[in-house]
Amino acid sequence: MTSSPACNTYMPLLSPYIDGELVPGERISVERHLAACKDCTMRVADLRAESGLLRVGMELAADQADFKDFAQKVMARITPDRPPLFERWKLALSETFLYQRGTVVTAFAGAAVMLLVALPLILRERPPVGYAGERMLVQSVTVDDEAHVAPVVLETSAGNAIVWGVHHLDEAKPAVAPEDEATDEELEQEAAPASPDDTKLKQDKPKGGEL
Amino acid sequence: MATDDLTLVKRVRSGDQRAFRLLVERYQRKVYSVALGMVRDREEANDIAQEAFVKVYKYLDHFKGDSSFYTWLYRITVNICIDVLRKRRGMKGVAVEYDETNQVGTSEANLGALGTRLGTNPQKSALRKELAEKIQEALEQVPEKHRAILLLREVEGMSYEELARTLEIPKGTVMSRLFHARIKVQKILSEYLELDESKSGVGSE
Amino acid sequence: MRISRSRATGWAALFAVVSSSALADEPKVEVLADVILASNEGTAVDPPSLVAMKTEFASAGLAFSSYQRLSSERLSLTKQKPSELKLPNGKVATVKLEDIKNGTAQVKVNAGNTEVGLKLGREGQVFVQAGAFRSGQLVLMLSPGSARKP
Repeated sequence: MTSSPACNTYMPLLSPYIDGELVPGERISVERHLAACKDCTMRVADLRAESGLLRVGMELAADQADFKDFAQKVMARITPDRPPLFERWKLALSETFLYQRGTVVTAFAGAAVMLLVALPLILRERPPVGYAGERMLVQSVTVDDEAHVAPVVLETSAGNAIVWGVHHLDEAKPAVAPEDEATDEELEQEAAPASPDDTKLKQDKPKGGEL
Repeated sequence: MATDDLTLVKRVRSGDQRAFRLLVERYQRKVYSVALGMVRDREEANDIAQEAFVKVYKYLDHFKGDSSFYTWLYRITVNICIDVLRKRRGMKGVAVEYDETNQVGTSEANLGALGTRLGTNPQKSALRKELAEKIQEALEQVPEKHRAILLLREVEGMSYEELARTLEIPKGTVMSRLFHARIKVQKILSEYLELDESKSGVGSE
Repeated sequence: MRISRSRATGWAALFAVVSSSALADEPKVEVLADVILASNEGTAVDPPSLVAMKTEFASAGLAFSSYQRLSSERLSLTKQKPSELKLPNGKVATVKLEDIKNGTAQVKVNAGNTEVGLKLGREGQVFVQAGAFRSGQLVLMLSPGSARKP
């Protein structure tokens, strides 16, 4: 095989050329040479083929190896005397948190779900004292005789109850936010038994109910 | 998702062994590949890879962090390999060193043979176990330092900069050493592929 | 006698819940009582969790622009005597355990001119108007004893 003198100067650049390690100026000049030189074009093809061959060949060789116990063996060689049980626990816990956050989160989520399921069951059997009932309920509302208000129980969007005093109509001003007309109007509406709103409105002695 | 090497190294330094295990698992395969390419013996390669990790762990305090962790790891791996090969050779003979300043002669392998036969994607060609064997065989026939640079380049995909740091040689040397290494292995592989019919100019190393 | 939940493990907390209720002979019922000033002065909602209250009030037609928590107390109710809650307008609200029927506490709340009979439950809240203060209205918010402070 003979090469032109030009090829001899370009040949050492072909290897870094396929590695993408030439500076732009060099690359352009190599490419210019390649466009004119069939031999060097083939050399580049050979280098590329060889590079790929080596890579795949070594991959194949490594595929035949078994790394199952590899890390284990290395760890056994570097692990000093085992620390006390408590220290090991502590370390294992903190490491688990650090590296298996996903697993831990999943585990915790699982545990949380279980708790969510289990807790109401447990609490149903033994709820805090006085809390056998599911929701807070208003059972009765009374007012002082001298008070000029009519108490109403308003139901909120969340199903909670608001016990609110609405001034008697003979009162000049409503109890709530006198400067806010919209509020007044709405309140008046609420106070009217014929309110089209499905808000349950009970006057005087509203009966309990899931409010 | 993966924690970077330096973070893991810091964790190891603070006594977290699990972090080291992650580093081992991250690099075991490639370290083994490099070792296998160097010594061409599975068991020995496995021992070397283990030894490399043990050494890394032992000398972790000496790791400055100014280069990447893996260039350091591979440097240690390659050095262990070279030691092993030296011991294997015993006292006789010094490794044949290739003069990197030599211009590559005209005794190239059959030009274009590899490329024509294999294309640029060898995965496509029927590359079998025997070929992997042949590659190791070819590697065995080139000097250690050529073997090392080829493996680090092809297996690890190191840049010239990283190769220079790992092998502790100037970047210019990386370029010429890699070139020479490639030309040599190419010849051997061509021979294996029986494409070099005349067998002329095939290296006898 | 409460065991700090933050320090106890989940199981210990469960155990505490179970055992504390089992050991109690003198019934004591806990309820969370917050005093909130609802007004149309400004738009401050403090703490921000009171946004929920603002939404609820609006849904019931009480469109105050500002909700501010003035106090928050966990009351331990007994049948013996009512728990007192001093309101900023100088008045006193009382909450008293009347009875426990089938495990459900019946409570009497006195606030403002209103007396409210309540059945406690594990969910929800009851808001009771508790009189005027400054330019707004005081609201007594009663939540289950297990509830976190808003």
